[in-house]
Amino acid sequence: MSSLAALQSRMAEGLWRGGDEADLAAIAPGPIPAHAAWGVHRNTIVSGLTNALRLTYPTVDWLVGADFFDQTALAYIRSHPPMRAQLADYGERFPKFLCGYAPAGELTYLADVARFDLAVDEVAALSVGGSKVCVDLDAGVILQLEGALRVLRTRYQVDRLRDAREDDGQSLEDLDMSPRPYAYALWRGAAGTLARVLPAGAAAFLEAVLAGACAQDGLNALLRESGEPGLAELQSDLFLAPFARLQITQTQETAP
Amino acid sequence: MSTASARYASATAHAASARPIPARAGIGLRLPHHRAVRESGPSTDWFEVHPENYMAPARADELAAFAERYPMSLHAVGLSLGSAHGLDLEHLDRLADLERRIQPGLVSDHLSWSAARVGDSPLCLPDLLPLPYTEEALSVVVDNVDRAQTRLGRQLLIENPSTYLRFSQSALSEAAFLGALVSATGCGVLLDVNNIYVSAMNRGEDPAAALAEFLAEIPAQSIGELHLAGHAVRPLENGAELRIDDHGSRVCAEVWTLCERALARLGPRPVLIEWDTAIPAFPVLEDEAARAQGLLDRTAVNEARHV
Repeated sequence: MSSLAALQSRMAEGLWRGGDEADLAAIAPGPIPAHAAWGVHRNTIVSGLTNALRLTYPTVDWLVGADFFDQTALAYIRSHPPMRAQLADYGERFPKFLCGYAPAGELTYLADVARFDLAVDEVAALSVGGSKVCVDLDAGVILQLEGALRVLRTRYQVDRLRDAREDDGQSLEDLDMSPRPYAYALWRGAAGTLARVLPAGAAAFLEAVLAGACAQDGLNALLRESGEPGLAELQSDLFLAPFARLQITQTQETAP
Repeated sequence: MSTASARYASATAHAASARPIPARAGIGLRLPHHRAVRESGPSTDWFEVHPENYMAPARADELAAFAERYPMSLHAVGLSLGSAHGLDLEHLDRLADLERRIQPGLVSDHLSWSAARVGDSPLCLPDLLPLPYTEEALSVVVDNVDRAQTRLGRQLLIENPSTYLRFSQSALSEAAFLGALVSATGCGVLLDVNNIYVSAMNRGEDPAAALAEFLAEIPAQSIGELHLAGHAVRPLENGAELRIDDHGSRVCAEVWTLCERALARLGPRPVLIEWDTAIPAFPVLEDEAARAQGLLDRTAVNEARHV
């Protein structure tokens, strides 16, 4: 390794880990003490990464407050080095990190909130009007789904937690925070990410067909999840959903 | 003209369909102002963005829409041209894809590094880290700039960064280093006047003398753009003042004076107002740009008088 490469490796590691300044001997004396100069770079790096996390996880930030978020972000940064040039790509393991982050142990909903924030952010980054996912339902009947559609399963009403930011938390008062299964469809609208609660059976159908399964396998997944009552979900929560469109293809009949 | 310069003089043919950046004041376009610009269509002459913020498909679509209405410059922060661990080729490809779509009038990055390897893993830090100005570092930067210009098929402008420390092993001044880089690669220079001021003051040197050295070491025709921004001043325990290039305030009087001197020597150039933190309402940036335009207009008048 060249001497410059070695210097840069040591500097980078020192700045990321936040420990003692590396290679102080390499720094020429001047009016600005080396530790102060070092601190400018360290602060820029930590604040840049923290802001990137804050932008991706706005509901988490709002729920825990700025100080706790900063502390949590710092713990994440120290254990998850940034490895890509784009800040927008940083932090995809933050939801999993929150699951094991002891200071947030009592906030059992927080990881699910983070997963929802991340899904919203990822869908919003996609182009409007991308290619559709087409599912053959029957001869001549195709179900077209938005290409950016995804299903997210949680144990808390994360959509209402996110929406509560808009009314400054007033709607939290009557929010049921007991854990139970929830499912959401998320897709790209003209102005950003749209989300809709899904019944479990409809979620199972969508998960299957979005993974490439045929309609029959999707139907089997729905029945395993919800039984026959789940069949009604197909019409109300899938075929008539804003992210779906039924296309009837015309068949040509040959004249005798 | 050196061989390197000749190589990239023709590379502008690649960007024949790009809208050139005029020698007028421009504004750094940031996310909080997207809606205002989209809806009110200000008379700003050109905009500059950090391409790293526009590489996701939806963001690229948004930028393309702006680029249809305004000349656009891409000011990258992630190429890490000073890294001795090599360029991030995937990132370079993403920049090239965006550049091909947007057809910017100018593309630039910094004389700095942000990526290294720690053990077997890459580490990419969101900062513009300083280089020792040595022959080894010059060789690294020349190689990286050459590769980047070849991949992008165009000349890059390289910006002088703000610095808070110097390395004992530096054998060249920053200005001489940039001049050598221009000579070796045919790249251009983005002269950040606020960074010249911040760096000189942090070193305890005269900013006017620092500017004069830049203008002496770097061929005038290679300086393709100027940047102006605000900075913060923090008192230190030892009585010194630390100036931090935070792009979070109006351009200070001393930096305006330096800019006027630079333009008097260079003639009119595109001048960009940068504001990245504590971002104010868009009219504030327009006000700063108007002041920059005033300097440019006086420069043009003075040039005409001396013809």
